[in-house]
Amino acid sequence: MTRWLVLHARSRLVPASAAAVVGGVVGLVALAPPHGSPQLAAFGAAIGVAAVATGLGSHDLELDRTAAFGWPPRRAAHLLLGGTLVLALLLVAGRVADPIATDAFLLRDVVGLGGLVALGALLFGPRAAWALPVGWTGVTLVVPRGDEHWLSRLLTWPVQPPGTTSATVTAVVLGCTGLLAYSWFGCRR
Amino acid sequence: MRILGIEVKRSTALVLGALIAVVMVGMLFWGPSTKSSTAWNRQWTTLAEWIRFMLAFSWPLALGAGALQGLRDRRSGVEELFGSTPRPRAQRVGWTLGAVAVGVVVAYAVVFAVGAVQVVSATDYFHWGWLPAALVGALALVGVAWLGVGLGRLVPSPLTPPVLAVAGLALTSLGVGRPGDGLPWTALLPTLPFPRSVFAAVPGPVSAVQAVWFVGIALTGFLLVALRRRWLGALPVLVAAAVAVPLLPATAEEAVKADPVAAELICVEQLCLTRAHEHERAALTGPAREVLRLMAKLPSPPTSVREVGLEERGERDLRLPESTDAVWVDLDEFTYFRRTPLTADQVTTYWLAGAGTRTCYGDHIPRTVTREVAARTVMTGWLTGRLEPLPVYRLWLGEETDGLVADAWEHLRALPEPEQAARVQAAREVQAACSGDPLTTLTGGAL
Repeated sequence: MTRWLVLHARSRLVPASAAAVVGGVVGLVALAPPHGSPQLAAFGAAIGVAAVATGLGSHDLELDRTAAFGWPPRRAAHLLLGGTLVLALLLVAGRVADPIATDAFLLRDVVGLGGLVALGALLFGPRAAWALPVGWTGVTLVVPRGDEHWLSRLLTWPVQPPGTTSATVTAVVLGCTGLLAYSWFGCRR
Repeated sequence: MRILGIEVKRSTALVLGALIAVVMVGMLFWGPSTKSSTAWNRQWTTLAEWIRFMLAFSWPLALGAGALQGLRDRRSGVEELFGSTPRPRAQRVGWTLGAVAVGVVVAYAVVFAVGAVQVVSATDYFHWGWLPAALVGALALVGVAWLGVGLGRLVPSPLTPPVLAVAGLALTSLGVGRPGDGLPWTALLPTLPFPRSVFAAVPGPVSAVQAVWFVGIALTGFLLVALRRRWLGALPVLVAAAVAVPLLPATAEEAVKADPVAAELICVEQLCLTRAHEHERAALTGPAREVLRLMAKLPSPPTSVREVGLEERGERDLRLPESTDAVWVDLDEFTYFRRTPLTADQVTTYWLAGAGTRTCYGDHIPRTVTREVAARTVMTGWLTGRLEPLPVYRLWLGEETDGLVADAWEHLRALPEPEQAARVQAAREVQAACSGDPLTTLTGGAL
């Protein structure tokens, strides 16, 4: 089992992705203003899940298909572990330096953006999956989050305050659909 | 041409183009770009400048997608095979880069077309001054997509595209601030600060310098893909930087120049509108006539309604004095441009506020603004015969001013008729010149 894990991690470039996530989070914490910033925190989550996404699919899908075991639980485990790692890193960064956002905020963003990136892997393939979370967080830089209109609320869910129901619902829906769809169908060929 | 067609279908060009068009049009329709006279779908200059502003998203996207394209050969394991053919590399990759450029430029043109269709029916002021800024945007997109392909070939790891995209987004977010922030370096970014007035535009020389810079980036991208000795690829961007950096605008005044043609007043029948807003004449002639008719009650009434064409908005603390022979109007001051147009009556109400004078304050409003609001309310009430709160400040100043207004109104009405007219005239002059307290003048020092 250990051997399988090591080989899987190597084939999915896990060490390089992990290094990228750590580098991204460290850079983010270094840039963060004293009281944190929702945009920056959302960016942290987006960078993390974008790096995780590069390992969501293998180099050769045909080869994967010949395996004598079911992929769905393994795919789900990969995604969940990756998300947990990103969240843990962000939380640890918040403990070591000034917190960039509350824990609930980070949890929601990692769940939602993680689901989004999984959907991206399903639609565009693992190498282009980053476009969805990075693009959506970019949008929050311009759309005002205090706007009352429902579409503005929806678009800015990654930067809404932690207690916002609509943002939490969006994140949970994205997270669940992403996880289920990706685990079931895998990546785009 | 057949190869180009195949490459368009097989490369990231189609997906990238679709993403760019959707993201930009969506943001333009939903971002802050739909508000006031500088909305992206009202003037040609603001159309170009808003689209350049929205490059903040599509530029990093093009960088990342280009890098994704650059990974293709190495990740498919065909580099050695292609390397063994005698055909020059530049000829082969030229088609791929061409396909990426076609996708990006078509998407950019689609965004422009969506805006242009609306601008045509929203303004009569057409000119070509916006074209350089728009072309530089297309050049920047193509250049960065090619640079992405080059960097993707240089570092063929699946992590390269997301890292480049995030870095690009971090770079462009530096340019989202106020105009003049971080100059001259922010002038190297593809984005422009969002337009603040329709009477100003990006000057041609600035666009030319930026064009040089982005051509340098594009050439570097091309050489990084095409050359075997890749370090040569850094040359064009270094040369472009050496040419462009000394010529970059250093201050906000150099980066944005006034457009005197747009601000030129055209007078027909006592209503003077700027050339840029000539399209609104049909809707504004009625209110102008009505305002001048009501103002005829004054001892020396204004003879025309004139638009104020400011090339900079919200910067000054206090506005400059204005003459009393005209009613000066700033269409953005009462947000004339809305999704549902104002009725003629509403426009008249806004213009009559303060007997046809504008507020003296800009961005920074002191507490004493309540006295100004009270005086302007009473002056308006005297002209129309009905005392009504001013439409603009009602929400956040209502209760504080109500007492002042009631007292001043009582005081003014107690005077004989000719004395009332003289007081309002004097208060109007004080308010137009921003030279004192109009409420004191109006009540003869009683309040």
